[in-house]
Amino acid sequence: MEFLSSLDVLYFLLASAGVAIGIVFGAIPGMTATMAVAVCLPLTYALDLNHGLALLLGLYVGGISGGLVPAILLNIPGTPSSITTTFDGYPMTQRGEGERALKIAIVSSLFGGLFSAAILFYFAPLLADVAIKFSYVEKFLIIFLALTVIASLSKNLLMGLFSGLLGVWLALIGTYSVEHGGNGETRLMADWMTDYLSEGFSLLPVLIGLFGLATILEEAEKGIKEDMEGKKLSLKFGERFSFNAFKNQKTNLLRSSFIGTFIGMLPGVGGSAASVLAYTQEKNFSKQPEKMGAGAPEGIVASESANNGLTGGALIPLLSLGIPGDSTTAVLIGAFTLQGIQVGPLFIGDNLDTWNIMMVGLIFANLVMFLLMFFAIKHIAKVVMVPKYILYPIILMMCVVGAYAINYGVMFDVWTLLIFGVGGYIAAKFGIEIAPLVIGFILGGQAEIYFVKSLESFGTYSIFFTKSPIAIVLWILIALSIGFSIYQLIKKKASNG
Amino acid sequence: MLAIILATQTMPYWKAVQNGEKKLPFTEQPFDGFRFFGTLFLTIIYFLLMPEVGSAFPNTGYGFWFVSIPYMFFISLLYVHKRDKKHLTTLSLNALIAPSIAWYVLSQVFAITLP
Repeated sequence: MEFLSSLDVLYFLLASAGVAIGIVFGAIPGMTATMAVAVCLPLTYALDLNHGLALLLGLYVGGISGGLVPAILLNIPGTPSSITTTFDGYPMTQRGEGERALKIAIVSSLFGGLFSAAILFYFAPLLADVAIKFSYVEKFLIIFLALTVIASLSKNLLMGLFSGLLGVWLALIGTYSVEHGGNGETRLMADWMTDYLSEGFSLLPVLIGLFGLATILEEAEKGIKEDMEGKKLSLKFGERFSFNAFKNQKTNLLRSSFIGTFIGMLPGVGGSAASVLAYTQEKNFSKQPEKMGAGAPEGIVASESANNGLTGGALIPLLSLGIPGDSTTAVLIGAFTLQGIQVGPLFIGDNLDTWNIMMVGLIFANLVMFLLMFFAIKHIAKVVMVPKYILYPIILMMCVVGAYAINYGVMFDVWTLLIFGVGGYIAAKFGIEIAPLVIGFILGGQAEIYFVKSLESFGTYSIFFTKSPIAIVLWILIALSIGFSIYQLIKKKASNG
Repeated sequence: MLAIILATQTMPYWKAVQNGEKKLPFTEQPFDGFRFFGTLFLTIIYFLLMPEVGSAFPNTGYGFWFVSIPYMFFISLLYVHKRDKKHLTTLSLNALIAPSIAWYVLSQVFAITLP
């Protein structure tokens, strides 16, 4: 219980501020929780790990939750994961039940968030205990599995795999360290780049570029349309909210929260898959499926509990294996690195206080999200009306600060932001998937080290297949993930005739 | 892998473009070149000027502060659709206040390095 002494007033204030800022980001269409975390990272540079984590976890929970506001009131999903919330939320608003729909969504979000926090608390240490016994071979195979899972769940298996490999390739640029089994020379770049890239690209400018600048360039391409112009917020009081709305929703809440948590554990799949799957399941099990999509509260319950279930789920592989579960946790990995903490199997055991503080932060952030949104929803709803010509310049400015300050003032990091912002924008146009690319970039360096160390230790490639029963199980899972994707492709082609 | 992608994805895609069934990546939707290239142009100028101005005031963060104000103003001007008095006042105030707050909080309160 020593960790309790670290929980000061500032900790709770930062978590609350994080939630509030996150809700604003989530509520504005086009802006995501990932962007919120990436843009606010510079604020954590001057904080210690615990306080920095409080802010980031608040941003994460708030960012995921805020998307429900425009989804319900304006039929515009604030974040990709709130797409299914529009199906029933907006029809309820049109019936004059906007406030009721919002409160149903908020309570469901709280349940999903707390459910996933509980799963995280019990499951992550168990997984870490198993992972701690892994040798370099199994560690390499885990990363390989993460890349194949994320690629197989991409829109296109080939492009997903290619994107992941491109990320690995980008991660290998720089000096091939002797310590890691290399020759100490630079690689994958021209000689004139040595001054800038001997250490490779810094992680955070890359992430801020891909998730911050690239998003704004996409919006600029569309002309920075003010989605809210001419729209009116409707928070009429039709049928008032009552907790009776959840009377027959226990199974739905549990199932959808579980789906969200499970999907969150899969690397890079994202909240939209979680909410779509939970919504579809609720429709399949519903006694009145025809009501879904026409303003049924159970649709909102399924969607919102699933996408908040994602928060704890995505932290499980991050904290137990060092593999980010989604793009937001990928940015969190950068924040950990910044504080000198290596996430992975040893993280929980070696940093028990930090782990407990994280759990308190996650639960607290969910409670603050609930209180803020439940009691101040009328005021929060107004943030969706903030014009983009005010917000986007602020975000651009914060992106620059984040990139510049990460290495205590290196201008090349700012140019990295531009390179990856423009590169990410162009890559997305050509079908490159950003999530596998980012995961590949984050895990590429480690994958190489584990691969080389395995070969140094055992001297044969066959060790990757024969090292242990765990290695065989991992190969089976890799084959299954690829097989699943091929099966889906064949099924899709067959249904298209 | 690139060869497989070219053979299985790019070639059929290119044929569909030639047949008029699909559009090229950058022509799928109306492209606002003014705002897109304007963003890039202003951002590059911003990045170039920041260290230059900053070197005149070392370790103060003034490079960031002084250059961010016009950058925010021009980029807001680029993004705004109605350029009337009300909108111009709002964006001018934002361009003045936001970088000032960011500079003060980050540089003075948190002692974070700024250009």
